[in-house]
Amino acid sequence: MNSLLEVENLTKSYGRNRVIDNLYLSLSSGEIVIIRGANGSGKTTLLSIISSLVSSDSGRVKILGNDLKLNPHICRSELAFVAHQPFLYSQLTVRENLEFSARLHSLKDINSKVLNKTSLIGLSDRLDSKIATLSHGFIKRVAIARALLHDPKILLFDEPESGLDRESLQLFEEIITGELAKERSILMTTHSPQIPYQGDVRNLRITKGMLVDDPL
Amino acid sequence: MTLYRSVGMYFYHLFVIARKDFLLEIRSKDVILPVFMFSFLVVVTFNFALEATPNTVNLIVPGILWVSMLFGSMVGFNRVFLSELELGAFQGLLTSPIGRDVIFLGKVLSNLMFLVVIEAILVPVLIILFNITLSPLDMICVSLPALLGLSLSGTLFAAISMNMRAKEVMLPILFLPAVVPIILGSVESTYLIMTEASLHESLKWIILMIIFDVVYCVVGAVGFTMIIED
Repeated sequence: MNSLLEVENLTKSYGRNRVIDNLYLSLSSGEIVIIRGANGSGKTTLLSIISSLVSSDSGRVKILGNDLKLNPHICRSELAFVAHQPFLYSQLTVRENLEFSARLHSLKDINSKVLNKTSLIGLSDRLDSKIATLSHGFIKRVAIARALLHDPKILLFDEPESGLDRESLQLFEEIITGELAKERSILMTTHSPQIPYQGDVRNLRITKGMLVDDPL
Repeated sequence: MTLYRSVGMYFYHLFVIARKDFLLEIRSKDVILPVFMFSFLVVVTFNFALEATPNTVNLIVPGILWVSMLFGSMVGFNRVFLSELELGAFQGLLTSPIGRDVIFLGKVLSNLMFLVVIEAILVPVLIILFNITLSPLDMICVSLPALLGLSLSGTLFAAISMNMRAKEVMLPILFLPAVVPIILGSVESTYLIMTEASLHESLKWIILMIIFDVVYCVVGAVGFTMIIED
């Protein structure tokens, strides 16, 4: 299988606290990896480094063979990050937020892409609602639609189950199944024993800044 | 052709960011309204405080205009990153496939747009209150490099101080010393276009402002990228 994401010898410290310590990770095409760990174990930091929000102290991240530090634009165009924060503007509508993101990714045929993704995620009737007027669950859906808009090869989810009701979780699982079928890879963190996906997954645990297999 | 396409894309992304800021400003009125109110009150206060006579009006009006723009813009720069921080939208910008310098210059462009709107309202107020005459074309030639300088340095220092707890204090401490050459140039050149018949006399001050704009642009784009990467 082709490796879409390779993390080698990654290290990150905050002050004297080493959060990521010589971490290695490889993610193949069509694979889903779930990382569990206690609060403060470095799950979010790892995703933040991969998405280039935080710089690492040492080590290397390669996305589709491109070094993140040498070719950040290419790497960022191939991945999407759904974090705790939705990365949206509260005073803009769902449509305006998605169109803005699509323009930043230099997408063509923006209108049909926005309609397609919002319909996939059950937001068609909320397109012209301001983000400030939506519930937490719907804001999360918009964040997911924003992440899927440019058809990234790698999807990063940071505790995606938080704040979602049963219906939204079911929808989320359908989306994951659909995205994996398109040869995409998903890296997800959680500290919940139950994850919103029932298919084949590789379970890992982050302890002392390193990843180990997690037999659950 | 590739260079043309990438340069075109660079400017396209600048305008995408500026357009988004403009849309947000129409909705929230976070920047233009407080900045205009502040600048307007400064102008009115000076109007009452200083007895402008036909002999002194040309000396005091340039100072009043640029002091009110300076302090007003400071109020605005404290607020330009508010909408970016609210739902983590700024991190969304950072994860998109555009350079950090594009984000910086996009914000500069939108801030410049706001300052132009404010000055376009403020100058007629000054003309009415102090009964002066100003050539619109000369005023544009003086104002554009001055406002660009304010916008470049203000955006950089607003980005530096946006996550600081004492950002309202930090921004003026960083911003005011940095824009001294711009304020000096803008006051002197405004005085010269008010008193001299042609723009020619103020050209050296305008060139000085343009030189500082270039310096702020390079330092700002590099500095912003370094701050964000850290």
